[in-house]
Amino acid sequence: MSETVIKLENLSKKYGDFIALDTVSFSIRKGEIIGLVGPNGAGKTTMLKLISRLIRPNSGNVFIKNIDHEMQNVHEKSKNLIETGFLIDIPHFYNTTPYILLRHIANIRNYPKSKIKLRIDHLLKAFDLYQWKYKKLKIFSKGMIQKLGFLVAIIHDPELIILDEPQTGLDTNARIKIREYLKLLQKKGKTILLSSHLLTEIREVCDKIALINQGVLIGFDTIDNLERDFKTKELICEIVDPIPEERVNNLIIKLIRQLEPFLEAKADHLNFEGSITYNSQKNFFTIRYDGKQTSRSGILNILSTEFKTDFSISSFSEPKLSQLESLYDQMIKENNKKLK
Amino acid sequence: MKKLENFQINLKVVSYSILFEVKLQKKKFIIFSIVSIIYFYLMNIVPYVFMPSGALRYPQTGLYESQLTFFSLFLVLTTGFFFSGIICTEYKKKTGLTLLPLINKHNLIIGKYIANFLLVIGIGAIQYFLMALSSFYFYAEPIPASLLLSFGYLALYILALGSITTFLSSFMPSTGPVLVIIIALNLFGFSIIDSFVVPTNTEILYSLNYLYRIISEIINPEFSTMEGYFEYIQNNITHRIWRFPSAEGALIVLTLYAIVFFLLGYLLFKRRQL
Repeated sequence: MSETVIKLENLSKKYGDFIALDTVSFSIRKGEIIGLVGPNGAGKTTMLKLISRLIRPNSGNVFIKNIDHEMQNVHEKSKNLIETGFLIDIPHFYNTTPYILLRHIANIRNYPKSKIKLRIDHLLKAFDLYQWKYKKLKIFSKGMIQKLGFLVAIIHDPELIILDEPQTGLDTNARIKIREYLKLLQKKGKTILLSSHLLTEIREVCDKIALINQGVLIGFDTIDNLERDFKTKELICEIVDPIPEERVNNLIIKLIRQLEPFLEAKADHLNFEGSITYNSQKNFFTIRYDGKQTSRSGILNILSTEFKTDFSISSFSEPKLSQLESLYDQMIKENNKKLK
Repeated sequence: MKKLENFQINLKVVSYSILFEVKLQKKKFIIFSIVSIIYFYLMNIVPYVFMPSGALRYPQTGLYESQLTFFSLFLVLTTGFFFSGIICTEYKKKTGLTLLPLINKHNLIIGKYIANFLLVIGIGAIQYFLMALSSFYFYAEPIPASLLLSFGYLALYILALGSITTFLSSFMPSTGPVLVIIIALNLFGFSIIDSFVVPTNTEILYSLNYLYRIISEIINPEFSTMEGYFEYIQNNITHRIWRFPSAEGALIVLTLYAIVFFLLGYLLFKRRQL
């Protein structure tokens, strides 16, 4: 098993009476990409600022691996830590050129002098900023600044990369480039902690998500495991011909009766209302089930045998994005209820 | 061995910070240099052109004295403009979000402090060079060696003023208030304190305005034998007016100002969160 690169231990931060972060603990192993998600004001940026030593915690510790492969408390000693790159908040730069800025960052992080120019050129070309190499940053657009912020975080080839919403304000092309580059960095064994509101990006690149709400870590696991825990698995069953409106309710009752062993029950464990819904415009059923692999095949089997006279199935799939969104929504709602 | 390596790394980071800061402040340096040249031209060359006989003060040190006296306000402004943003802009403009996680705060502040000092002393050097050049042209006399001593004190004065500005910048929200305070302190602040201290005949060594006088006075060949004060008797009470500090006194107080305020500024910067 790969070694731990970063570890948060009961990390708390208060601003006056407001608790921005409440005893958050988790650790990240080498080569993992962790997505930090949560609503606005949940404490994501506070957490990243604590990791980057921009602010001090009220209690708890942040440990990052040092060059001797020991975990080191960054708020006690910051020397000899593994190379770390940061993109915190919306990047703000001095009014200089990308070349001077990137060279300065590479220099202060002791990146081999002979390779700096090549590295800058390579990254600027990869992110379509090469022609802007010697232009002053004050004329850069928001998206270009954001891209440069990402380059600043990785210019010195760090082992650990902390990114706070790196895709904010970027066009689709740039977002894809960053996503692909993150995957490439992971292949090289880099560890990445990535905060984002874009669940598609999180789903695409992250191994695990850390879900944070009102300063509390309410989930830290792979998306599949969290979905299983929260029983939020959904299946989309598209059908060939539309079902007449007057038959829909009866059909849903029949479906619930037949599929009951596999469905996600509501709080009273008896009520399956809403577990199956029908979208009449796009001709598909949404089935919320218990998330087990055996249930999935069981459902498919019943649908294709017991309901062959009612409808013909054209496709049977899991909607990846909506699942993550619904998981996110459900976890936040449940946590808010608990906190109330 | 590891300590030596760390020291070398720190030294490298500081030197890169100096270079980077110099690049960032390049435009400001050019503007202030041009202003200082224009200022010198207006103060020295123009009067000579219009009043060739009356404009020159004798002996040669008179030119330095008058020029350096007027130069003090320009120096306060220059130092204020260069040092006022040394820390607070990292917070106000949020540029610290990029740099502070990557660099130790002491390396950053030392680098920026040295860079700004070099730039301000550079502007001072232009002024001294022009003074020496015009003096040689007008008087056709050798340049006094004490001009170098004066330049040394100018450097020390810039360090002291720079440290106070850095200290203010370490907790102030933006450059504006820092500039206002540093200018007000030099224009009125010390004078107000002086009005309480002078009647006690105590030497006003705390005053930067008073300490500044060493810069022009030390050029005088008679400096070592000159009395730093004069006395007069009024209503049977002896009053002492301090004209300029001793070389040792100025050296000690300016050095103390430079070190103490720099350290205070650093400590506040270290505690400041973004």
